[in-house]
Amino acid sequence: MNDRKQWRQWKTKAVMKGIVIILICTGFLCFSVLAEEESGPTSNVWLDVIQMPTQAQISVTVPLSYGFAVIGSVNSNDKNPVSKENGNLLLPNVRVVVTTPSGTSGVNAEYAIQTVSGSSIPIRNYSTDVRDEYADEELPLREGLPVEVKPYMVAFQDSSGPTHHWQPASADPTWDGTAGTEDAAKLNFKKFQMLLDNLAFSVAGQKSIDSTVKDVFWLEDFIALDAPPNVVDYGYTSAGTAQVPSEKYISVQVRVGGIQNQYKQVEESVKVGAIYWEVIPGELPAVTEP
Amino acid sequence: MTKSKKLHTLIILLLLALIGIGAGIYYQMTRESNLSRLARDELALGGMLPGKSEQEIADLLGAKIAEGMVDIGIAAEPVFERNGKKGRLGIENIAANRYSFQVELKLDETGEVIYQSGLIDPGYYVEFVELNKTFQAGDYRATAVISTYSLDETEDRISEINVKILLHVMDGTFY
Repeated sequence: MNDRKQWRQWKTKAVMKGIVIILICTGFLCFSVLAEEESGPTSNVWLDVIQMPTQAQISVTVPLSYGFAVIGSVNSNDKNPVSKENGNLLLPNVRVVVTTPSGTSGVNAEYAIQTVSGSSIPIRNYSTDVRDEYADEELPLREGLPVEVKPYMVAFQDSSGPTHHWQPASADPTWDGTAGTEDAAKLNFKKFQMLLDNLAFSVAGQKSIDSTVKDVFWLEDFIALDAPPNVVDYGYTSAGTAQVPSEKYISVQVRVGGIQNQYKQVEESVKVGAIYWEVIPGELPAVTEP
Repeated sequence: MTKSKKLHTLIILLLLALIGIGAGIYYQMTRESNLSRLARDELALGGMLPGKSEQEIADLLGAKIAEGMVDIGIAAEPVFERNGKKGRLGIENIAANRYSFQVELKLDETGEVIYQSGLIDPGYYVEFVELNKTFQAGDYRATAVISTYSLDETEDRISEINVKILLHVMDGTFY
Protein backbone atom coordinates (compact mmCIF):
# COMPACT_ATOMS: atom_id res chain seq x y z
CA MET A 1 0.00 0.00 0.00
CA ASN A 2 2.78 2.29 1.02
CA ASP A 3 4.61 1.26 -2.11
CA ARG A 4 1.58 2.12 -4.20
CA LYS A 5 1.40 5.59 -2.66
CA GLN A 6 5.04 6.13 -3.30
CA TRP A 7 4.60 4.86 -6.89
CA ARG A 8 1.75 7.35 -7.47
CA GLN A 9 3.80 10.22 -6.07
CA TRP A 10 6.74 9.19 -8.20
CA LYS A 11 4.51 8.90 -11.24
CA THR A 12 3.00 12.36 -10.66
CA LYS A 13 6.44 13.87 -10.25
CA ALA A 14 7.68 12.14 -13.39
CA VAL A 15 4.69 13.36 -15.43
CA MET A 16 5.15 16.91 -14.12
CA LYS A 17 8.83 16.86 -14.98
CA GLY A 18 8.01 15.49 -18.42
CA ILE A 19 5.50 18.26 -19.01
CA VAL A 20 8.07 20.85 -17.95
CA ILE A 21 10.64 19.38 -20.35
CA ILE A 22 8.13 19.30 -23.22
CA LEU A 23 7.18 22.91 -22.48
CA ILE A 24 10.84 23.92 -22.53
CA CYS A 25 11.37 22.08 -25.85
CA THR A 26 8.26 23.72 -27.31
CA GLY A 27 9.53 27.08 -26.09
CA PHE A 28 12.84 26.52 -27.90
CA LEU A 29 10.97 25.52 -31.04
CA CYS A 30 8.78 28.59 -30.95
CA PHE A 31 11.80 30.78 -30.40
CA SER A 32 13.57 29.14 -33.33
CA VAL A 33 10.56 29.62 -35.61
CA LEU A 34 10.08 33.22 -34.55
CA ALA A 35 13.76 33.93 -35.05
CA GLU A 36 13.46 32.73 -38.64
CA GLU A 37 10.37 34.78 -39.44
CA GLU A 38 10.95 37.06 -42.38
CA SER A 39 10.72 40.69 -41.52
CA GLY A 40 8.46 43.00 -43.53
CA PRO A 41 9.70 45.88 -45.59
CA THR A 42 12.86 47.20 -44.09
CA SER A 43 12.03 50.84 -44.55
CA ASN A 44 10.84 52.80 -41.59
CA VAL A 45 7.37 54.19 -41.60
CA TRP A 46 6.93 57.16 -39.33
CA LEU A 47 3.62 57.82 -37.74
CA ASP A 48 3.03 61.49 -37.72
CA VAL A 49 0.32 64.07 -37.39
CA ILE A 50 -1.81 63.82 -40.52
CA GLN A 51 -0.71 66.63 -42.72
CA MET A 52 -1.89 67.24 -46.26
CA PRO A 53 1.15 67.45 -48.50
CA THR A 54 1.70 70.78 -50.14
CA GLN A 55 4.24 69.56 -52.66
CA ALA A 56 3.90 68.11 -56.14
CA GLN A 57 3.17 64.40 -56.11
CA ILE A 58 4.03 62.35 -59.19
CA SER A 59 1.95 59.29 -59.88
CA VAL A 60 1.89 57.49 -63.22
CA THR A 61 0.81 54.07 -64.37
CA VAL A 62 2.96 52.56 -67.09
CA PRO A 63 3.49 49.10 -68.58
CA LEU A 64 6.78 47.49 -67.62
CA SER A 65 6.57 44.65 -70.10
CA TYR A 66 5.35 43.90 -73.56
CA GLY A 67 5.10 40.60 -75.33
CA PHE A 68 4.67 39.16 -78.79
CA ALA A 69 4.77 35.73 -80.35
CA VAL A 70 6.00 34.55 -83.72
CA ILE A 71 4.07 31.75 -85.36
CA GLY A 72 7.06 29.76 -86.46
CA SER A 73 7.27 26.86 -88.85
CA VAL A 74 9.26 23.68 -89.30
CA ASN A 75 8.43 23.72 -93.01
CA SER A 76 11.48 24.89 -94.94
CA ASN A 77 9.20 26.40 -97.60
CA ASP A 78 7.72 28.91 -95.14
CA LYS A 79 10.06 31.72 -96.06
CA ASN A 80 7.83 34.63 -95.15
CA PRO A 81 9.02 37.78 -93.46
CA VAL A 82 7.71 37.96 -89.90
CA SER A 83 4.95 40.51 -89.67
CA LYS A 84 1.41 41.03 -88.52
CA GLU A 85 0.33 41.40 -92.13
CA ASN A 86 1.73 37.97 -92.95
CA GLY A 87 -0.21 36.51 -90.05
CA ASN A 88 2.84 35.08 -88.32
CA LEU A 89 3.30 37.72 -85.62
CA LEU A 90 0.87 37.79 -82.70
CA LEU A 91 0.45 40.88 -80.55
CA PRO A 92 -1.54 40.94 -77.31
CA ASN A 93 -4.56 42.83 -78.57
CA VAL A 94 -5.16 40.52 -81.50
CA ARG A 95 -8.72 39.25 -81.40
CA VAL A 96 -10.19 36.22 -83.03
CA VAL A 97 -13.14 36.74 -85.30
CA VAL A 98 -15.33 33.76 -86.09
CA THR A 99 -15.79 33.46 -89.83
CA THR A 100 -17.70 30.18 -89.80
CA PRO A 101 -19.59 29.59 -86.56
CA SER A 102 -19.82 26.07 -85.24
CA GLY A 103 -23.31 24.88 -86.10
CA THR A 104 -25.50 21.85 -85.75
CA SER A 105 -24.42 20.45 -89.10
CA GLY A 106 -21.16 19.27 -87.60
CA VAL A 107 -19.07 21.83 -89.46
CA ASN A 108 -16.02 22.83 -87.48
CA ALA A 109 -15.80 26.48 -86.63
CA GLU A 110 -13.28 28.53 -88.56
CA TYR A 111 -11.52 31.49 -87.16
CA ALA A 112 -9.58 34.35 -88.61
CA ILE A 113 -7.05 36.44 -86.81
CA GLN A 114 -7.98 40.06 -87.11
CA THR A 115 -6.48 43.10 -85.53
CA VAL A 116 -9.41 45.15 -84.41
CA SER A 117 -7.89 48.53 -83.73
CA GLY A 118 -4.21 47.88 -83.54
CA SER A 119 -2.43 47.04 -80.31
CA SER A 120 -2.45 49.79 -77.75
CA ILE A 121 -1.69 50.13 -74.07
CA PRO A 122 -2.86 52.76 -71.62
CA ILE A 123 -0.62 55.15 -69.69
CA ARG A 124 -2.22 57.10 -66.87
CA ASN A 125 -1.22 60.25 -65.02
CA TYR A 126 -2.50 60.98 -61.49
CA SER A 127 0.03 63.72 -60.66
CA THR A 128 -0.98 66.94 -58.91
CA ASP A 129 0.69 70.05 -57.55
CA VAL A 130 -0.08 73.06 -55.36
CA ARG A 131 0.59 76.60 -56.53
CA ASP A 132 3.07 78.50 -54.39
CA GLU A 133 0.46 81.04 -53.32
CA TYR A 134 -1.67 78.27 -51.73
CA ALA A 135 1.19 76.31 -50.18
CA ASP A 136 0.71 77.72 -46.68
CA GLU A 137 -3.00 76.99 -46.52
CA GLU A 138 -4.30 74.20 -44.34
CA LEU A 139 -6.13 72.51 -47.20
CA PRO A 140 -4.31 73.77 -50.25
CA LEU A 141 -5.99 73.63 -53.63
CA ARG A 142 -4.42 70.90 -55.73
CA GLU A 143 -4.35 70.96 -59.51
CA GLY A 144 -3.51 68.36 -62.11
CA LEU A 145 0.12 68.30 -63.21
CA PRO A 146 1.18 67.25 -66.72
CA VAL A 147 4.19 64.96 -67.07
CA GLU A 148 6.34 63.67 -69.87
CA VAL A 149 7.58 60.10 -70.07
CA LYS A 150 10.36 58.68 -72.16
CA PRO A 151 10.79 54.91 -72.29
CA TYR A 152 13.89 52.96 -73.19
CA MET A 153 14.95 49.37 -73.61
CA VAL A 154 18.18 47.78 -72.50
CA ALA A 155 20.31 47.30 -75.63
CA PHE A 156 22.34 44.31 -74.61
CA GLN A 157 20.71 41.14 -73.41
CA ASP A 158 22.51 37.97 -72.46
CA SER A 159 22.06 35.40 -75.24
CA SER A 160 23.16 32.43 -73.17
CA GLY A 161 20.89 30.07 -71.32
CA PRO A 162 17.97 27.89 -72.28
CA THR A 163 15.53 30.70 -73.00
CA HIS A 164 17.44 32.03 -76.03
CA HIS A 165 17.07 35.73 -75.35
CA TRP A 166 16.01 38.13 -78.03
CA GLN A 167 17.96 41.21 -78.97
CA PRO A 168 16.47 44.69 -79.41
CA ALA A 169 17.57 46.49 -82.57
CA SER A 170 17.84 50.21 -83.18
CA ALA A 171 16.89 49.82 -86.86
CA ASP A 172 13.99 47.98 -88.49
CA PRO A 173 15.10 44.31 -88.69
CA THR A 174 12.14 43.13 -90.81
CA TRP A 175 13.02 41.25 -93.98
CA ASP A 176 11.75 42.86 -97.15
CA GLY A 177 10.94 39.46 -98.65
CA THR A 178 13.38 39.78 -101.55
CA ALA A 179 15.04 36.45 -102.29
CA GLY A 180 18.44 38.04 -102.80
CA THR A 181 18.49 39.40 -99.28
CA GLU A 182 17.44 36.16 -97.61
CA ASP A 183 20.84 35.31 -96.19
CA ALA A 184 21.22 38.80 -94.75
CA ALA A 185 17.70 38.56 -93.32
CA LYS A 186 18.65 35.40 -91.47
CA LEU A 187 21.22 37.38 -89.53
CA ASN A 188 18.36 39.31 -87.97
CA PHE A 189 16.87 36.16 -86.46
CA LYS A 190 15.40 37.04 -83.05
CA LYS A 191 16.08 40.74 -83.39
CA PHE A 192 13.19 43.09 -82.81
CA GLN A 193 12.36 46.75 -82.71
CA MET A 194 9.44 48.18 -80.82
CA LEU A 195 7.48 51.33 -81.53
CA LEU A 196 5.28 53.21 -79.07
CA ASP A 197 2.96 55.94 -80.24
CA ASN A 198 4.49 55.48 -83.72
CA LEU A 199 7.93 56.33 -82.34
CA ALA A 200 10.72 53.76 -82.53
CA PHE A 201 13.16 52.74 -79.82
CA SER A 202 15.97 53.77 -82.12
CA VAL A 203 18.21 56.24 -80.33
CA ALA A 204 21.22 54.38 -79.01
CA GLY A 205 22.54 56.07 -75.93
CA GLN A 206 23.57 55.70 -72.35
CA LYS A 207 21.76 56.22 -69.15
CA SER A 208 23.37 58.98 -67.23
CA ILE A 209 22.35 58.08 -63.71
CA ASP A 210 22.39 54.31 -63.36
CA SER A 211 25.54 52.27 -63.16
CA THR A 212 23.94 48.87 -63.79
CA VAL A 213 22.07 49.75 -67.00
CA LYS A 214 24.25 51.71 -69.39
CA ASP A 215 23.65 50.98 -73.07
CA VAL A 216 20.04 51.58 -73.99
CA PHE A 217 17.78 52.37 -76.92
CA TRP A 218 15.69 55.44 -76.15
CA LEU A 219 12.36 56.13 -77.77
CA GLU A 220 12.76 58.81 -80.43
CA ASP A 221 10.83 61.42 -78.46
CA PHE A 222 8.98 62.11 -75.24
CA ILE A 223 5.36 61.08 -74.75
CA ALA A 224 3.41 63.90 -73.18
CA LEU A 225 0.68 63.05 -70.70
CA ASP A 226 -1.98 65.65 -69.97
CA ALA A 227 -2.73 66.79 -66.43
CA PRO A 228 -5.51 64.84 -64.67
CA PRO A 229 -8.80 66.54 -65.46
CA ASN A 230 -10.66 68.79 -63.02
CA VAL A 231 -8.98 67.73 -59.78
CA VAL A 232 -11.04 70.29 -57.84
CA ASP A 233 -14.28 68.46 -58.65
CA TYR A 234 -13.09 64.86 -58.88
CA GLY A 235 -10.91 65.16 -55.81
CA TYR A 236 -7.58 63.68 -54.77
CA THR A 237 -6.23 61.15 -52.29
CA SER A 238 -4.58 61.97 -48.96
CA ALA A 239 -1.25 61.27 -50.67
CA GLY A 240 -2.01 64.06 -53.13
CA THR A 241 -2.78 62.01 -56.25
CA ALA A 242 -5.82 62.69 -58.44
CA GLN A 243 -8.82 60.41 -58.09
CA VAL A 244 -9.39 60.52 -61.85
CA PRO A 245 -6.31 60.31 -64.06
CA SER A 246 -5.66 61.55 -67.53
CA GLU A 247 -5.33 58.55 -69.80
CA LYS A 248 -3.60 58.06 -73.10
CA TYR A 249 -3.69 54.92 -75.19
CA ILE A 250 -0.47 54.57 -77.08
CA SER A 251 -0.18 52.33 -80.09
CA VAL A 252 2.35 49.52 -80.03
CA GLN A 253 4.05 47.99 -83.02
CA VAL A 254 6.74 45.37 -83.19
CA ARG A 255 9.13 44.73 -86.08
CA VAL A 256 10.69 41.30 -86.03
CA GLY A 257 13.69 40.08 -88.02
CA GLY A 258 14.43 36.70 -89.51
CA ILE A 259 12.40 34.36 -91.67
CA GLN A 260 9.37 32.40 -90.49
CA ASN A 261 10.99 28.98 -90.75
CA GLN A 262 13.89 30.09 -88.55
CA TYR A 263 11.48 30.10 -85.62
CA LYS A 264 11.16 26.38 -85.03
CA GLN A 265 10.84 26.07 -81.28
CA VAL A 266 8.27 27.58 -79.01
CA GLU A 267 10.84 29.13 -76.71
CA GLU A 268 12.31 30.86 -79.78
CA SER A 269 8.96 32.29 -80.74
CA VAL A 270 7.77 34.14 -77.65
CA LYS A 271 9.26 37.32 -76.29
CA VAL A 272 8.19 39.26 -73.25
CA GLY A 273 10.52 42.20 -72.81
CA ALA A 274 10.97 44.87 -70.19
CA ILE A 275 10.25 48.54 -70.84
CA TYR A 276 12.08 51.08 -68.67
CA TRP A 277 10.78 54.59 -68.11
CA GLU A 278 11.96 58.07 -67.30
CA VAL A 279 9.36 60.45 -65.88
CA ILE A 280 9.82 64.22 -66.04
CA PRO A 281 7.33 66.34 -64.09
CA GLY A 282 5.83 69.23 -66.00
CA GLU A 283 4.62 72.55 -64.64
CA LEU A 284 1.22 73.84 -63.73
CA PRO A 285 -0.22 75.90 -66.57
CA ALA A 286 -0.05 79.66 -66.15
CA VAL A 287 -3.20 81.22 -64.71
CA THR A 288 -5.03 83.14 -67.38
CA GLU A 289 -6.67 86.33 -66.24
CA PRO A 290 -10.39 86.48 -66.99
CA MET B 1 14.95 0.49 -4.12
CA THR B 2 15.82 4.19 -3.87
CA LYS B 3 18.55 3.77 -6.46
CA SER B 4 16.16 1.87 -8.68
CA LYS B 5 13.56 4.66 -8.39
CA LYS B 6 16.12 7.29 -9.25
CA LEU B 7 17.20 5.21 -12.22
CA HIS B 8 13.58 4.87 -13.37
CA THR B 9 13.03 8.60 -13.00
CA LEU B 10 16.17 9.32 -14.94
CA ILE B 11 15.21 6.92 -17.72
CA ILE B 12 11.71 8.42 -18.04
CA LEU B 13 13.07 11.95 -18.03
CA LEU B 14 15.61 11.02 -20.67
CA LEU B 15 12.89 9.39 -22.75
CA LEU B 16 10.69 12.48 -22.50
CA ALA B 17 13.61 14.72 -23.38
CA LEU B 18 14.41 12.52 -26.37
CA ILE B 19 10.78 12.67 -27.50
CA GLY B 20 10.87 16.47 -27.24
CA ILE B 21 14.16 16.79 -29.07
CA GLY B 22 13.02 14.26 -31.70
CA ALA B 23 9.83 16.20 -32.28
CA GLY B 24 11.85 19.39 -32.65
CA ILE B 25 14.28 17.86 -35.13
CA TYR B 26 11.40 16.28 -37.09
CA TYR B 27 9.65 19.65 -37.29
CA GLN B 28 12.73 21.45 -38.54
CA MET B 29 13.55 18.73 -41.08
CA THR B 30 10.01 18.68 -42.43
CA ARG B 31 10.09 22.44 -42.69
CA GLU B 32 13.34 22.45 -44.65
CA SER B 33 12.11 19.67 -46.90
CA ASN B 34 8.93 21.64 -47.58
CA LEU B 35 11.05 24.62 -48.56
CA SER B 36 13.25 22.61 -50.92
CA ARG B 37 10.16 21.18 -52.60
CA LEU B 38 9.31 24.76 -53.57
CA ALA B 39 12.66 25.38 -55.29
CA ARG B 40 12.46 26.34 -58.97
CA ASP B 41 12.85 23.56 -61.49
CA GLU B 42 16.17 23.98 -63.27
CA LEU B 43 14.86 22.13 -66.31
CA ALA B 44 11.99 24.57 -66.85
CA LEU B 45 12.29 26.47 -70.13
CA GLY B 46 11.11 30.00 -70.78
CA GLY B 47 8.11 30.42 -73.03
CA MET B 48 4.95 28.44 -73.42
CA LEU B 49 4.25 24.78 -73.77
CA PRO B 50 3.73 23.82 -77.43
CA GLY B 51 0.20 23.27 -78.60
CA LYS B 52 -1.50 26.46 -77.49
CA SER B 53 -3.89 28.09 -79.92
CA GLU B 54 -3.15 31.54 -81.30
CA GLN B 55 -5.97 32.98 -79.24
CA GLU B 56 -4.60 31.38 -76.07
CA ILE B 57 -1.16 32.82 -76.79
CA ALA B 58 -2.62 36.28 -77.46
CA ASP B 59 -4.64 36.07 -74.23
CA LEU B 60 -1.56 35.06 -72.26
CA LEU B 61 0.41 37.94 -73.73
CA GLY B 62 -2.43 40.30 -72.85
CA ALA B 63 -2.47 38.98 -69.29
CA LYS B 64 1.29 39.48 -69.07
CA ILE B 65 0.93 43.12 -70.04
CA ALA B 66 -1.89 43.62 -67.54
CA GLU B 67 0.34 42.13 -64.83
CA GLY B 68 3.14 44.43 -65.93
CA MET B 69 1.15 47.64 -65.42
CA VAL B 70 2.59 49.44 -62.43
CA ASP B 71 1.72 52.66 -60.65
CA ILE B 72 4.51 54.63 -59.00
CA GLY B 73 4.05 57.54 -56.62
CA ILE B 74 6.70 59.92 -55.31
CA ALA B 75 7.04 63.60 -54.35
CA ALA B 76 8.42 65.71 -57.19
CA GLU B 77 9.87 68.52 -55.05
CA PRO B 78 10.40 67.16 -51.54
CA VAL B 79 11.44 69.58 -48.81
CA PHE B 80 14.18 68.33 -46.47
CA GLU B 81 14.59 70.05 -43.13
CA ARG B 82 17.68 70.28 -40.91
CA ASN B 83 20.08 69.80 -43.84
CA GLY B 84 18.56 66.52 -44.95
CA LYS B 85 17.49 64.96 -41.66
CA LYS B 86 13.85 64.63 -42.60
CA GLY B 87 11.98 65.07 -45.84
CA ARG B 88 8.66 63.93 -47.23
CA LEU B 89 9.60 61.73 -50.18
CA GLY B 90 6.11 60.19 -50.28
CA ILE B 91 6.99 56.86 -51.94
CA GLU B 92 3.80 54.91 -52.49
CA ASN B 93 3.45 51.35 -53.78
CA ILE B 94 -0.30 50.92 -54.14
CA ALA B 95 -1.93 47.62 -53.22
CA ALA B 96 -3.03 47.01 -56.82
CA ASN B 97 0.59 46.71 -57.97
CA ARG B 98 2.16 43.30 -58.39
CA TYR B 99 5.73 44.43 -57.92
CA SER B 100 7.76 45.45 -54.89
CA PHE B 101 9.80 48.64 -55.13
CA GLN B 102 13.28 49.52 -54.06
CA VAL B 103 14.07 53.21 -54.35
CA GLU B 104 17.41 54.94 -54.63
CA LEU B 105 17.83 58.69 -54.70
CA LYS B 106 20.81 59.77 -56.78
CA LEU B 107 22.25 63.23 -57.22
CA ASP B 108 22.20 64.17 -60.92
CA GLU B 109 25.48 66.02 -60.67
CA THR B 110 27.57 63.23 -59.17
CA GLY B 111 25.46 60.08 -59.35
CA GLU B 112 25.97 59.68 -55.61
CA VAL B 113 23.32 57.65 -53.78
CA ILE B 114 21.91 59.84 -51.03
CA TYR B 115 19.04 57.60 -49.98
CA GLN B 116 18.23 53.94 -50.41
CA SER B 117 15.02 52.30 -49.29
CA GLY B 118 14.50 48.69 -48.41
CA LEU B 119 12.00 46.62 -50.33
CA ILE B 120 8.57 48.25 -50.31
CA ASP B 121 5.83 45.73 -51.00
CA PRO B 122 2.49 46.58 -52.67
CA GLY B 123 0.19 48.21 -50.15
CA TYR B 124 3.05 49.93 -48.28
CA TYR B 125 4.44 53.43 -48.37
CA VAL B 126 7.35 55.40 -46.99
CA GLU B 127 6.46 58.98 -46.24
CA PHE B 128 9.42 60.60 -44.51
CA VAL B 129 13.06 59.69 -45.09
CA GLU B 130 16.47 60.85 -43.97
CA LEU B 131 19.27 61.50 -46.46
CA ASN B 132 22.54 59.76 -45.73
CA LYS B 133 24.52 62.96 -46.22
CA THR B 134 24.36 66.46 -44.76
CA PHE B 135 23.52 69.10 -47.35
CA GLN B 136 23.84 72.84 -47.27
CA ALA B 137 20.56 74.67 -47.73
CA GLY B 138 19.65 74.91 -51.39
CA ASP B 139 18.08 73.09 -54.31
CA TYR B 140 19.55 69.89 -55.73
CA ARG B 141 18.50 68.02 -58.86
CA ALA B 142 18.21 64.29 -58.28
CA THR B 143 16.72 61.16 -59.80
CA ALA B 144 14.60 58.67 -57.92
CA VAL B 145 15.47 55.27 -59.37
CA ILE B 146 12.53 52.98 -58.65
CA SER B 147 13.50 49.37 -59.30
CA THR B 148 10.70 46.82 -59.48
CA TYR B 149 10.93 43.26 -58.23
CA SER B 150 8.65 40.26 -58.33
CA LEU B 151 10.23 38.01 -55.74
CA ASP B 152 7.65 35.29 -56.40
CA GLU B 153 9.18 34.87 -59.85
CA THR B 154 12.81 35.95 -59.64
CA GLU B 155 15.22 37.97 -57.53
CA ASP B 156 16.37 39.81 -60.65
CA ARG B 157 15.11 43.31 -61.22
CA ILE B 158 12.11 43.37 -63.56
CA SER B 159 12.37 46.95 -64.72
CA GLU B 160 13.04 50.47 -63.56
CA ILE B 161 11.33 53.83 -63.53
CA ASN B 162 13.39 56.98 -63.07
CA VAL B 163 11.66 60.11 -61.84
CA LYS B 164 13.41 63.45 -62.12
CA ILE B 165 12.91 65.39 -58.89
CA LEU B 166 14.13 68.56 -57.22
CA LEU B 167 15.23 68.47 -53.58
CA HIS B 168 14.69 71.61 -51.49
CA VAL B 169 17.06 71.42 -48.51
CA MET B 170 16.58 73.80 -45.57
CA ASP B 171 18.77 74.28 -42.53
CA GLY B 172 15.81 74.96 -40.23
CA THR B 173 12.72 72.90 -39.46
CA PHE B 174 9.80 72.57 -41.84
CA TYR B 175 7.58 69.75 -40.63
